[in-house]
Amino acid sequence: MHKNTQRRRPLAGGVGLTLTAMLLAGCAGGTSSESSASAETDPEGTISVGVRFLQNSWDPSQMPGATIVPIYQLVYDNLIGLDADLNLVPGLAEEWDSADGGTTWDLTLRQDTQFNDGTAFGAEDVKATLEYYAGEGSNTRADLAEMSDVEVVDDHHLRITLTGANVGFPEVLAGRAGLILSSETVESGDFASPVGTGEYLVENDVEGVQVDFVPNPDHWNPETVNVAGLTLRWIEDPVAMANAIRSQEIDMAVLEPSQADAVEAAGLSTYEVRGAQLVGISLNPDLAPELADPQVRMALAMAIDRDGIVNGLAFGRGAEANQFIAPERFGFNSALDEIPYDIEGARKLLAEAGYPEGFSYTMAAQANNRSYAEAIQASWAEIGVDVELTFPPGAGVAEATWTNPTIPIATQNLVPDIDATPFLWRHLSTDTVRNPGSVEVPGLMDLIQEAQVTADEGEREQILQETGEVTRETIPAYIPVMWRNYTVAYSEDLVGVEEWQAGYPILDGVGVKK
Amino acid sequence: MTQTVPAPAGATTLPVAPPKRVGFLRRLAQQKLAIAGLITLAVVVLVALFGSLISPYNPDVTSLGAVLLPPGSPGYLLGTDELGRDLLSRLISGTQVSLVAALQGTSLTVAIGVTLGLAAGFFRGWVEKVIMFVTDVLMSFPGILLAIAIAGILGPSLNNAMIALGIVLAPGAIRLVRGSVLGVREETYVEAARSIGTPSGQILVRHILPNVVPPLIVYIAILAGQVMLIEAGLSFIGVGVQPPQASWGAMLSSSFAYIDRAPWLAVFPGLMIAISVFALNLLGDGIRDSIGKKVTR
Amino acid sequence: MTATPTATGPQAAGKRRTHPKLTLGALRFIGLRFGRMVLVFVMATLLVFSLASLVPGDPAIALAGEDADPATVALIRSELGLDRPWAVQYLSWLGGLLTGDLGDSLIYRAPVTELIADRFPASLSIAVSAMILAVVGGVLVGMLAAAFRGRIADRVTTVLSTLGIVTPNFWVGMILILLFSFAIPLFPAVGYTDFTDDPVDWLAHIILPAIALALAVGAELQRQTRSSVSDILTQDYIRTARAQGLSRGRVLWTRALKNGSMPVVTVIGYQMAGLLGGSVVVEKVFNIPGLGTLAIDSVVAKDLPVLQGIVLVTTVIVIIVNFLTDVLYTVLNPKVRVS
Repeated sequence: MHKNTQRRRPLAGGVGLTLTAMLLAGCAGGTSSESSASAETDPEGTISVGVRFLQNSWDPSQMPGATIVPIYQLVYDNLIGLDADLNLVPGLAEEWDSADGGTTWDLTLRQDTQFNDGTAFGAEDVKATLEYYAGEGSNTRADLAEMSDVEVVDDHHLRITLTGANVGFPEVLAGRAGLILSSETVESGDFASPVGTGEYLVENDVEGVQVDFVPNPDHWNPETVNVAGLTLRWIEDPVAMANAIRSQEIDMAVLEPSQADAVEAAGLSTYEVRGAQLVGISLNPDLAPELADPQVRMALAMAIDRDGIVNGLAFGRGAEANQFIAPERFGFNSALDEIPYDIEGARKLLAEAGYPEGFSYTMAAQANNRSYAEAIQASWAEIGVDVELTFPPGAGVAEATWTNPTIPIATQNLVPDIDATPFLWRHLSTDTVRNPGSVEVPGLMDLIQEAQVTADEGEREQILQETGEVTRETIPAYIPVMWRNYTVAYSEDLVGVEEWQAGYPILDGVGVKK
Repeated sequence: MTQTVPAPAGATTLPVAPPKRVGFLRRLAQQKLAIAGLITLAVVVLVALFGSLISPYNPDVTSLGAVLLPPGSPGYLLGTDELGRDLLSRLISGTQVSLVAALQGTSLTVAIGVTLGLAAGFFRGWVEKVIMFVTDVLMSFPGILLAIAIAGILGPSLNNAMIALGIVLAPGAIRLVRGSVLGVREETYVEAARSIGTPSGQILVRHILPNVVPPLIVYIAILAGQVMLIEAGLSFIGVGVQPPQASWGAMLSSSFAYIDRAPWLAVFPGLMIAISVFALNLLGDGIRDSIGKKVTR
Repeated sequence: MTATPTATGPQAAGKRRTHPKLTLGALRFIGLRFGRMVLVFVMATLLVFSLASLVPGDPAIALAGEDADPATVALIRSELGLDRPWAVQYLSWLGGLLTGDLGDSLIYRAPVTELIADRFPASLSIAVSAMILAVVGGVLVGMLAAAFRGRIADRVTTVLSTLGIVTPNFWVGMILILLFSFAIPLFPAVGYTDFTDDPVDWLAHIILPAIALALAVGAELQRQTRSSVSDILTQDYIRTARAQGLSRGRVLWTRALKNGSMPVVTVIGYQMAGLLGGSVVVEKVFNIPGLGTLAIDSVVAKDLPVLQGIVLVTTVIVIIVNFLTDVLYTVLNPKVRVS
């Protein structure tokens, strides 16, 4: 399914960025469907969208995970945007360029843009925001760890200096660390009503229930918003979400694989956000020394029925995972063999490693991973690995395995970054909180560093593909199991829906039929 | 053997303590519905005790190539669940989980109820005042919410949920037992026994308990049904039993995700709950009618 | 609790004393009840407050969660006032409570009272609607069954009420969605609209959850009404009334219902707690942003102040409802004496 659709990423390198960026500026956010859409949309139309997660605070630095970035992007603009196919497009920065191969970055900012409190947007705001994100107590801190200096050249020009070259830095600014706040907000720390330059204004915010938005009349790109109002409704339960879209309570929903067929059968249109999450298992040898043995990790990886999980549990709405770059994303290695489901082979490996009797573990899992965890529990039992499942609530899984490790094994869902290198680094490098047992994959760190300084797109892609080979050879501290899709369903009353791959919900250009 | 209390000399006015078990059993035996309930429950208990012997599969073994098979599929009488586990085997093992949970919650409630209820009714005075006050307080808490809060704070597990539930439901039992004690306390034969210096413990065992037990049994039957239903609700919101173990309520809860393509997953555990609670109610009603005097909640 | 008709019943009804005088005894009874209510309230606050001590280990660290730095832990500690003696903590918490301050949510960083105020209307709508449905439906059907005891109507309603008693309410809710949202699309499957925004939409949203919640209570009431009214219908004075030429329906309404109302009032009192608790589960089925879903979220997120606030608010409601039913009981039945 990913053979012919691998997307080219024209902006992945630093050289020649400026020209391309300017070319794209003309059609930012605009698509062919949109001009026709505006003719048939109801200017008074409002839409209601169901979301599985809702923000607790409008402070992006307190964002718990990358899943909800699109919600912040409704009220805050990114420095650099992404189009439906994950290509970089201008945002608050119209141009970006690195003259020295990725260490210093020069940004040209949009003029005549203002925040929704009436203050003008300028380079000081960007500087204040980035320094805030890189500071103490920020969840986005790791994203900007390599940023050493932000220099305001003038009101609309900015120079960012990194500690070393990273040609993937623009992708960082297209993610959560590139959501721009006003310098006044950063100073006051008051996020009660968000001040941004984004497409929407928050009209009403009922914590943990819903957020109502109205269009920002002063947004620099008025074409992206074709509705008079937008409501995000928090619907955590997957069945309730499916029920909501089926009974037309909401116009758009994100579905679990178990619900997708029924919703399609009920006549709703859907599209897939492919590879939206990596489902897998984190391992911590500090708490279970045998996990330091690559043979043991390989045995565990081989005793997982990926095909059964993808087709039986996810009803085919996903793909087997054998590497850390999703199918269709830049750097994916399609030549790599799947990790075989081989109980006999796994038993043999365990015996060779000196553990013919297997072991017993406690495995933590998030409640929404229950069926995957139970399937893995059952197949591991066949190689003598007995697992007791526990389902710590909320952030408990991350806490028990990463922050304050007490449980050696856990199923975890990882949301990939746009650029592969920070994702690889954050989860697999030997000195990260996500790899508390410091499991080393030979050659991986060198490849990550090489990718960060390689501007040539073809070479860079090849290096990233090689990371797949080394992590396939030596299973890291995280066993990849499945790339899980999001299925997005939408009502037939909507026009201009595009298959955005950057997340959910992204509503640029969406309107309501007249 | 129910002809109790050999009258001491001079105490000829002592009436005979009431419940006659032979009469009770005969009356109960005549209640067809109650007997049906009793038989149903017996079957359920037998399944819980010896289910592993008749279970066609290991209830926890998955078969991802055979998920959500409909009832009557070759090898799977009732079909399979979302992980390809045999539904019949799951139901059988769920019987045990559900019954043990009901037993835990019910027995805790009854233990608290009997202890405090007896104490309140027997000792009266400040003991009763304190106990009844605490009862009033506990009764003001929305039971399920408090159980959720407690189970949530202690960590979600069936044990925690049932302990919380047992405490939350206790006031009903306390009131019932106290009421029964008060009902018999002032009876002439108890007064008489006391007046001739029978020790308190003996009075309690000989005269008071026999009056407390029959309504208590009725209450237990109804209560067990309630506990079963609440356990299902708690499992539904995720503070009950944890996988791979599953009670009927937990199975029902996870079936909702597949209600379009596999409605039988919701039907069978739902039926098991409904049938068991129904049987308990029938039995309770039957016992109440057989006791021969009015028993109120 | 089964209705045992008192001697005053028929007399009161006969003399049409629809507004019985509040005797001194009754007033004293109400006064004492009020005092007791206050005591129960204080005790309840103590219990709710001590929920915090159930948190295993250091609550501040347990609550701080992922990536907690010492500063966050310290913040939570001071927010919860964990650095002060227990009694001081309690009194200051109680003081805040009396001024409407239940602290701030650890997750939403918003005042607990505000969160609860947002969610409360939905839960109350469902619980009260369910109560009305249960009382009206349960009593009417119960009387119907009593009036036609042993006949088809009785049997059918008995089967229905049995079903109501033996099925989990979330199962009923799911079936209602399948039937009346999908098969026959009459009502929305999820969500809630405020009454003030759109009364019609409000009703459409709460009707299915209210039915799911009402079923068990209504069934219980149906059984009680059936048995108490059946008892009353066989009483001598009713037979006399019938013999005097009053129609069956009239007798049922004027006499039997009046005397059957006692248990109903009592039931309302003690079922309010059950309904508020039961709505937790039903709210989840219908994804209604009420106190129940807030409670579940708070459990998952270990948001203790919110959890305490919800338990407390619902308990206070139950305490007040219990007091009011006591008063109502006294008014309806002047025979009540302080016992």
